[in-house]
Amino acid sequence: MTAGENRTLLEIKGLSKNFGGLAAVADLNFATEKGEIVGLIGPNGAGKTTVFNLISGFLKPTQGQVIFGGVNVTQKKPSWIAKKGLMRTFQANVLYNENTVMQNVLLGCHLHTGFGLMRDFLNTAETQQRKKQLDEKVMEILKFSGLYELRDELASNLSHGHQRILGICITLAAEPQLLMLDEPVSGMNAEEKNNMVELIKQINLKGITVLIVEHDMKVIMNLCHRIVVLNFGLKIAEGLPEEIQAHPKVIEAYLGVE
Amino acid sequence: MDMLIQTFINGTMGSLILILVASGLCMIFGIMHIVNFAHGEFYMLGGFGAWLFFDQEVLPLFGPPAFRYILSVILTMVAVAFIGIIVERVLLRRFRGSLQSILVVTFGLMLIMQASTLIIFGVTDKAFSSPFQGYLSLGNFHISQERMAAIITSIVIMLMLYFFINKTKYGKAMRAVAQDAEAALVLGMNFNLIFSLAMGIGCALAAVGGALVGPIFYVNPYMGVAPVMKAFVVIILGGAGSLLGAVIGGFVVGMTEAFVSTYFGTHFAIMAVFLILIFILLVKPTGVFGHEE
Amino acid sequence: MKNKNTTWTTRILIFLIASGILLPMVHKDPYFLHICIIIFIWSILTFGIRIVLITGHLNAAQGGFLGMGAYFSAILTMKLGWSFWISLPASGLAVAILAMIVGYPILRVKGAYFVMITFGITEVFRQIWMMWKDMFGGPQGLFGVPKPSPIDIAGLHISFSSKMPFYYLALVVLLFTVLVMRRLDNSRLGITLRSLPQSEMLSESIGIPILLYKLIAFVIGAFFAGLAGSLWAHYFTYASPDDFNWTNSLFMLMYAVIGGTQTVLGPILGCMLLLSLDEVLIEFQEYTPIVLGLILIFILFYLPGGLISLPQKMGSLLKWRKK
Repeated sequence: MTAGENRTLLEIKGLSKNFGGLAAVADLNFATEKGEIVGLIGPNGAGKTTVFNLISGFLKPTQGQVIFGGVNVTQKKPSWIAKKGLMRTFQANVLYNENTVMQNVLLGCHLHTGFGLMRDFLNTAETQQRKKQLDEKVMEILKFSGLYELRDELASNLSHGHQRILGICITLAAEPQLLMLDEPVSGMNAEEKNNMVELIKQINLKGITVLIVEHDMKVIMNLCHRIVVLNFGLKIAEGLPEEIQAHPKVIEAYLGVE
Repeated sequence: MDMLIQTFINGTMGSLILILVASGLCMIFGIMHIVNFAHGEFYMLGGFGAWLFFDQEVLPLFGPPAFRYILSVILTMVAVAFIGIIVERVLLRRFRGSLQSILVVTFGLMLIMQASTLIIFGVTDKAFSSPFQGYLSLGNFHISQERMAAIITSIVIMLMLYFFINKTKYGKAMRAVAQDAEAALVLGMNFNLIFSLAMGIGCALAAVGGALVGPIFYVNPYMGVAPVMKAFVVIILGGAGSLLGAVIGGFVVGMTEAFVSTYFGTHFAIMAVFLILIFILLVKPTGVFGHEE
Repeated sequence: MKNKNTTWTTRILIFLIASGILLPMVHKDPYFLHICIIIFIWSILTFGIRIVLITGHLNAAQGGFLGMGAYFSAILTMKLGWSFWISLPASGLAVAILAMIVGYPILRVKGAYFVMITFGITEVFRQIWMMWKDMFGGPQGLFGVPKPSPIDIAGLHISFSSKMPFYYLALVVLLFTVLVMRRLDNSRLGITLRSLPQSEMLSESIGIPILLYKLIAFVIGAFFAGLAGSLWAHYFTYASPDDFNWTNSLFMLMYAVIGGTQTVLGPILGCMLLLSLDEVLIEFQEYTPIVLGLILIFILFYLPGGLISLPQKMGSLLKWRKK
């Protein structure tokens, strides 16, 4: 929180979103530093996915700013924001269902193919070379995440757990600086969750900043350097995992819901 | 000045008929999320139905012409509603959820319906004998009784529709499905029944439009093409699923068409309507009364 | 996508092309050649529909683009005295630019609305042709469009007063279309376009500018409509508003869906089959739309991938049987 300006990667200032008369998110402020894993938690309906949608450009905020790497990305299209290095995964399994695992991740390489459409159309020797490199990059990602054996399977045929991992792989191929994960372990059993936690740690070790929304507290406590807590669209707490665990407002928010 | 008022009257009638057709389309789209390209053909069936029952007297109906005409319109509505429900059951249900398939299927249906009608009845315009004789006069302006009947009937039907949607059990169920299909599912609503009902009513509305227009102009197998195009514009203008939007959009399109047509010619009228559409889509892609997704 | 399929597609393509080249030498009947030319031109148009269809959009403006191509070419040759050989590519380009302008606002719009608007655009074009008499000849259209000027190749003087040279001209343009489309299918553009209808959200989140890609597909489709239009105008030697209406767009869409969009064989097979059917049923013309409509519905119910997916479907049926 007292980091210098050049270490701050993502800044959220006064972010608000109103639906009709309802404030889904109200005057949200927080920041993320490079290399951190920040958790965003709160009871159901607290507005967490809305925040993701606002930051990544899938929803337009009513007020406020999102500043990424010093650039104001508020009100911009999702693909533009992604191009800047700010990317997100989805709560549901959003994949290219009619393509194989390998093809899915290849599509993720869109931003960094190294050749333009025209050259690709003409299929120059240089382009073919580059395509081989892309294939290798994809295979590396698949090996890294454990999906290598499944590379020729149709995405729709994968188990739920593998589909979640595939979603992350596709986004990894796009080389994000900050990766927003929307409930990555939802619907997973204990073993799958452990694998996912390990995967996320590895991703972070590669230098990618992570912002994660999750309901599973063990996962959050295990992964996050810092945590931001939302309830009814407002930030009610922010701090280190141990602080949050003991925070009276947080306890009240979760218990109060029951 | 005279021309102005005459145009206004024509525009009102045209708008009301358009509103009937557009409301039908709106219901089908809003509740079932189906774009029915064959919707104009149900309008056409309405026209032919009324012609068959009233002019060709395929059924023995008794009474003065006006009474027989009204009876014909009602019979037509029921028949077309029935046909619509069968179409929904046999063709459309299979493709629920895939918008592209529905679009293509209804294209095919449109072709089949048009061609069948063409084969059975031939391409020439069929004239209607007049159910209402005479004109109503107000000073210098004359409005034929048929047009008056069309206007009054349209308003009555729209009021009935409003009542149905807002005050009856099934109407409210339809609104619920239109607003939030998931919630409706959770509440255990019978989607099949609601969809069939929506389709039946939607097609019946289109049919009434055709049946009312028949005596005023004529019927032919291609009469549904232009109205459905205009209805689409109305729906887009008014926002999908909004009946109020359909009404307001209907007046905007109908009046624009009437006035531009009178003063600048039909070519400009068609262009004007589409230019409005394109303009609205540039400014607010969800339509004037539409909602953000 | 699978190598085995691609090899078969290539083999069939080569077979079709070879047949196309050899056929007129065997069968010189001018009426037969006429039908083939029609099939070639419609195939080009259907390819244009297909490339937009794979992004999940039904483009009913193709009929209007066809008309614009025809009119442009007619005007360039008749009023500016250009040679057909220049007006052919020029028409393609002109329609492509028109599509760029028109496509930009309308491609943002959701699927169903998009179809409606493209219908409207075709109608608007028609109204413009009918109103602007000086330029487009009004409701009658433009007559006396010149045939392509004779060319001299390899010592041969080819004049276009008979059908055979036109047949080969149309075939060449179709061949060009097929090669371009084939290459696009395998290129990053094609693969990305195909992925769009599977998940636009995902595509946006990894940086794919959806509107731009859809626009590119739309413009390419229109370019080929422009070429087809030019061929049309100089073959029939007239351009009239009644020929270029939304009904044509509908038919192109049907040919694309019935043929199938997975490979480049789809539009070709679709057009070959359905236009031949059209001919066969010429005595019963009024029934043709019904037959077409029924075939379309049958395909949607039982063979959604179109005719080209028939081998696959048979294959999986046989496997099912074996179990």
